[in-house]
Amino acid sequence: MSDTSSNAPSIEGLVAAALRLLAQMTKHPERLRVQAGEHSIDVDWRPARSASPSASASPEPSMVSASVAAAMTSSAFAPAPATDTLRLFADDESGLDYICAPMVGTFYHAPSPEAPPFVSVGDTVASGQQVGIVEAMKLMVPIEAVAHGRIVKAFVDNGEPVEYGQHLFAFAPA
Amino acid sequence: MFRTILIANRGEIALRVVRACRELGIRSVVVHSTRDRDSAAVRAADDAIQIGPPAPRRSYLNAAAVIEAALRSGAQAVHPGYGFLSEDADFADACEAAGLVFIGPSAATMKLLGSKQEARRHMAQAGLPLLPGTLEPLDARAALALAKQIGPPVIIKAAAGGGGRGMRVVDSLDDFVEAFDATVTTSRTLFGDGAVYVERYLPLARHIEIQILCDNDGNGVHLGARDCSVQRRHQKLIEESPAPRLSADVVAEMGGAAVRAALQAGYRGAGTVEFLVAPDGRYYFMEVNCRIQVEHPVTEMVTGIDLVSAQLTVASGEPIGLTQRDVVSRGVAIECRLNAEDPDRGFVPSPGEIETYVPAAGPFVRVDGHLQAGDVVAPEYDSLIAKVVAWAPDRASARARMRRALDEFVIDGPNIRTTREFLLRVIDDTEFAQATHHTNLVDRLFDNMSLHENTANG
Repeated sequence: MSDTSSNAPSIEGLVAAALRLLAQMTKHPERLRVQAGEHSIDVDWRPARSASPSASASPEPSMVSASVAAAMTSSAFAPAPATDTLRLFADDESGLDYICAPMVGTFYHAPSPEAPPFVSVGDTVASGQQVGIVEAMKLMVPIEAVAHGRIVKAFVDNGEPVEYGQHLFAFAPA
Repeated sequence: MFRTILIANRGEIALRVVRACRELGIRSVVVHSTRDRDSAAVRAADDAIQIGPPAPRRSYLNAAAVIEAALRSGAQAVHPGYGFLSEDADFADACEAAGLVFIGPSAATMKLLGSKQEARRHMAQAGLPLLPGTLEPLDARAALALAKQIGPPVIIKAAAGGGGRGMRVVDSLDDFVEAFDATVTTSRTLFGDGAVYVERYLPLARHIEIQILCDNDGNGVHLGARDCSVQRRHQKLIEESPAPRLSADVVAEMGGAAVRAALQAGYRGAGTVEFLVAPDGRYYFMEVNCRIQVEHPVTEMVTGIDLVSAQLTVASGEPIGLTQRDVVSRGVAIECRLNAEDPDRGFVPSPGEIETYVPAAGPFVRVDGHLQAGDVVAPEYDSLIAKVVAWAPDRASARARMRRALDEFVIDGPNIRTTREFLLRVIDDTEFAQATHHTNLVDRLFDNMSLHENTANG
């Protein structure tokens, strides 16, 4: 068994890479498997039911136990249910959650040029806590944390333009 | 000329505009939904901005997001393509308010010509012939009196209607009042507006349209006629230019009248004036389309004039630089729309992944497409896969080229059905070959086909 805690940063990087990869796929997979030790990412498009027997026939179960990210349901990746397209989940403890831009506009990390940023990397945020602003056509839309957790990474600098769905922050749900 | 243009559309027309920009040395920026993030237009453009999820009302119809993207990209102008925001006067207004040039007519002109009633009134004043009918909404009794004057058959149409919905044909005046009341009810339910109008119905007619091009200085030319009679439920399947069996004199007369009426409405840019032509050769104004149309390539192929490039020229404030004398039509161009639709199941859209895609090519064939193998025909958008255009010196040769091109075209995928074989049937149809067809051609072929199948199955 590999020591997952010492590999944690690279696992996070791998999960982020997997999510980026996933975002580029036109067809959404049934399973996504991420491994840190050997840097492997497995993507499976087979229907979930038929996938289990074929998976057990392959030598992969040992890898599953050593790998970090578990299978994700396809519904978590449905490309835009009308209600919420702005979150991508990895449903295990090391999975990262993303706060994304809800519209095209300009990102601001503070309520005014003089004010300190709403949040910084390492901060713990509560669900619903404001973490930024996206401004479009003079409309200021507050950006809120979608769950309780710790900010792991900030992707966009203050005053930078953002697209719809662009990652603003990665955070580890608590 | 503009330095940067934002393209507020998707699919083949977005790619078509990107290509025009590239040829003119203009930077192009395409907005796209999450679904289209890897589309041909996105890849071909200089820049792309993701503005929303796949649902059109949250992306391509989201005027605020489009304008924000345009401002962010440094664009001076917005090309709306066709569909989506292309004929939305409020969007044109919003562009202007944001300091962006809307590539199309002014908001005021679009408002005037976008309303069926207003457009009819304006065109009647400008001297275009209309089918006998009403210019104002009427009650049932006044409408019946008018229907008696016109004589059956008449058609009752919702003033706010469109796309073939909210209309009824009455063959006998005994049924008139009942049909009138029913149309008012439908119209109220569908469009929230009970206003209807009545006009003579032409059971046999051809759909002929005139391509116009006007600039800001009051210059206008027409680029001849297109025959779009091959349609099903008002969806065109095949278009051609010139209109066969329509004399050059009649086209010149229709074209001149269309340009005059458009200029009187303050029209600028490319547009289309649609007419119905009766078997006796008389023509009647139907409506104006204030946008570039899907079928514009047939006009480009016979006139040699790049209509999208002309749109950009006019929008940038330059004159069209053409007189009517400069517009010369040569040969015959036919366009077929290859849609992801299943003709065996009433032309229902058949979205899905395309596994094999081999477009037609070869001499005098133009394909305006946007897909490749591995792409998906998305369920959220229209089902147009590609437009195949064939040119030849005469119509028989153009048909032969089109048959050859459609034979070459391979589109295959687990769920994909296309109109390809149906289009081949039309190209080979005797009436179509002789150009004696009317707008009922597809229904007739379709009935024959179902009959054939029933016999085969029985």
